[in-house]
Amino acid sequence: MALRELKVCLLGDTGVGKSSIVWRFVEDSFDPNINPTIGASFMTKTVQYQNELHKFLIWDTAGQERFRALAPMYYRGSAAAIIVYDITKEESFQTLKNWVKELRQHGPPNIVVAIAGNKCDLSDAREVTEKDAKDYADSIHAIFVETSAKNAININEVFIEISQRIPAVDSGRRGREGFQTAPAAVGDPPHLLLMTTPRVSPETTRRPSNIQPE
Amino acid sequence: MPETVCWVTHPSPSSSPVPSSAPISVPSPLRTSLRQPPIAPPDSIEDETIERALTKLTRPSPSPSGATDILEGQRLSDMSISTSSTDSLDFSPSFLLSVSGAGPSRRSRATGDSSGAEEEEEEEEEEEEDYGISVGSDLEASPLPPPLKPKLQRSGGGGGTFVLPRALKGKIRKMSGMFSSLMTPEKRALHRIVELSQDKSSYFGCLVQDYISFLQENRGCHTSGEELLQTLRQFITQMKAYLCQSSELDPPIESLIPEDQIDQVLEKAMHKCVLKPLKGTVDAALQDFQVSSGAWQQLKENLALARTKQPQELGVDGAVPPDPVAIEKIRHKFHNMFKMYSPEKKVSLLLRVCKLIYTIMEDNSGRMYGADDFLPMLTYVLAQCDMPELDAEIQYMMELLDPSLLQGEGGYYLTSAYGAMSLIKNFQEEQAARVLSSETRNTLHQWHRRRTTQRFTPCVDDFQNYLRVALQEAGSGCTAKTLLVRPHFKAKEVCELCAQKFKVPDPENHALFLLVGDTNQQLAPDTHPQRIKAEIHSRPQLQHFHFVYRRVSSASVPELNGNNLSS
Repeated sequence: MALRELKVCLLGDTGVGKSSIVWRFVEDSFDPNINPTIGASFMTKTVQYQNELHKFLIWDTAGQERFRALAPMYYRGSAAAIIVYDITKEESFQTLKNWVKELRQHGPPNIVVAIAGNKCDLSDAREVTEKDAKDYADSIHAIFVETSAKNAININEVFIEISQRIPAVDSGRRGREGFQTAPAAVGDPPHLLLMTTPRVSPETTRRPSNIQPE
Repeated sequence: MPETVCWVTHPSPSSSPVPSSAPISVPSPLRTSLRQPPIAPPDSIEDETIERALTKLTRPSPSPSGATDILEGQRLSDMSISTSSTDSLDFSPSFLLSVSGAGPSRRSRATGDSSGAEEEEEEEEEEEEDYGISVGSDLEASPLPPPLKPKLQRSGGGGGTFVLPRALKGKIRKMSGMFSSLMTPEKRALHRIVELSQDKSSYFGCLVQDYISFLQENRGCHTSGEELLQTLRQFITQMKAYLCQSSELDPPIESLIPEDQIDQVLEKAMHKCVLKPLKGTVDAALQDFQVSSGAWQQLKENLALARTKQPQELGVDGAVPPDPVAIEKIRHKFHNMFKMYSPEKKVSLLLRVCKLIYTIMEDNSGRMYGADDFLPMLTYVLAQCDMPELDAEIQYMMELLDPSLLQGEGGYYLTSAYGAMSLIKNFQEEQAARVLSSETRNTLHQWHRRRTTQRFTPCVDDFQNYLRVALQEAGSGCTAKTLLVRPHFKAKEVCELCAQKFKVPDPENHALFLLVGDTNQQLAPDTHPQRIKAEIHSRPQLQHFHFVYRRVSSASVPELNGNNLSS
């Protein structure tokens, strides 16, 4: 069965529960055959989707303002981004909208965007209505779910929907092979390339000019 | 394949007794198993790691699985992960001890003791052959009994040729041939490629040796460390492609290695053929570039400043930071990292550092931490370590690491380390920016306004060494690029850079302009754009400004409104 590695980036304010969502998602998947990761900022989980295995490589980001400028280094090359807000904090929903804009401007083309309204177990303190968020998500063609990492509500669903929206291998070329052949950074503006510098694009096959065969 | 069998069935290589006086003639299968590359961690260790993870989840321990399963399930992006799993030796029952009490005993290299720190030492020995230093002194310094390392095999396989007299070499070749039949297929392939790379009668050997001597003699032909590393990376990739296609490799690699592993074996081989002999050259060149650009001094100053900060001032919120003993241990790990030539090995050490940071955070709280907590802590730790050398190390890894590993765990923590270093590098600027009044903050670009916290975050092109320049051309509007512009670059040099980056056919008719508000002025060729930027940044009133590269005669160019350029 074909295995595809999908980089998924988590964005959102600090404290909205980004890492709790991931932790919930991966917690039941500890398999003796798979090495656990060293910490919760980067986690992986492999799920079956149709006749493929999708291995999610989940990149968490720091939500504090001071780390914002680093975000492009994390979302570049992502197949999907999960933007998380806290349904009890209106402000975190505004931040989410800004992330959407930024991804549109600087993110990888065709990135699958999922919006997760976390802490839906705290509906008494709700500040963002489900309808508003859903309407917004629809307007940008994003996946939308309200989640509760605490009560394990809708966590798997987010990832299932991402799997569904990821283009098939031959058209999207995002799989393991695709990573090598399709430059993930193709849509990145030049300044991101300058900032991050690792090249994912295929290198030219030109010989260095200083080497002459005998 | 006696090794394979032994490796699978051996219960615990690190703790099993080894005859320290064994004769040299027989390569110990045990040692072979220890020297197995990262993709094949001993399964007992594997289980410890898993058990630990499962204990966290308060789940029942799994039944030990066959190591072959692990191998089959192995994927490229797991490589970095699995190297870190060998680090799980730290998490043997004594791992707490190794965290808190490793300081004093760290340098005692006695064998036989199985404390966490010692095991770590042992493991570092295992990687020793990948240090870019000469083999002879290496062996003498080794605390492990020499018989454990098949000395002759090593010599035939790598740097030994530089050390050993030629007469001896022939004999060793023969003997190493004998040993090679006992080696794992991967070892054999590696060995063969390295041998070929030193054989100047082969085309491959010629290419490699010529490149090595070229770089050793002409490292000055590169303009920056980045460029040097990128050229190196390109060479490695090309040579891998050549090896795949050519028939020089005998036996062909396909006959030794399963197809899906060929790439990583070639990668590893090229590191040995190219990066190992060039380690000294590359290190020195990177350092030279840093010093000459002023980046080294700047970084030292910023590190000194960042080091005085409390964890909270760097954004740490609640989690307990490593104490000075732990910082010392981390510094030690970084020092080991500096000695390695393989970007993968370096990354695996970086992962160990990160794992140690996590362990300290988690042990003190019992909870899991995501990036909100980890990245500030990593920034704090890197500041405390006060090692400006780390910057070049990170650059080395980022440029040379096998691209297929960049999405995995190694890539993640490398990105985080890079991010933490950029924050430290720009620490002074951030400090300056923080005194901006709340009114002026409101006028900052849209993306700065996302949240009204007390802090202003530098955007990418505010970072030192980067300058955003817009090309304005009649009819085609504006294109902006962020360019690498060192503080000492003059406007003239920036113009040359712009001409090149924007592919302007007539650079002589173009010049660099500064737009502040509605005024716009041409910059004299000998002015320093980065200093001008810094000066504008330091003004009490924050002003929008843009650097624009355009035609000098602006008759045909419509009046430019600075807002058009807002990015």
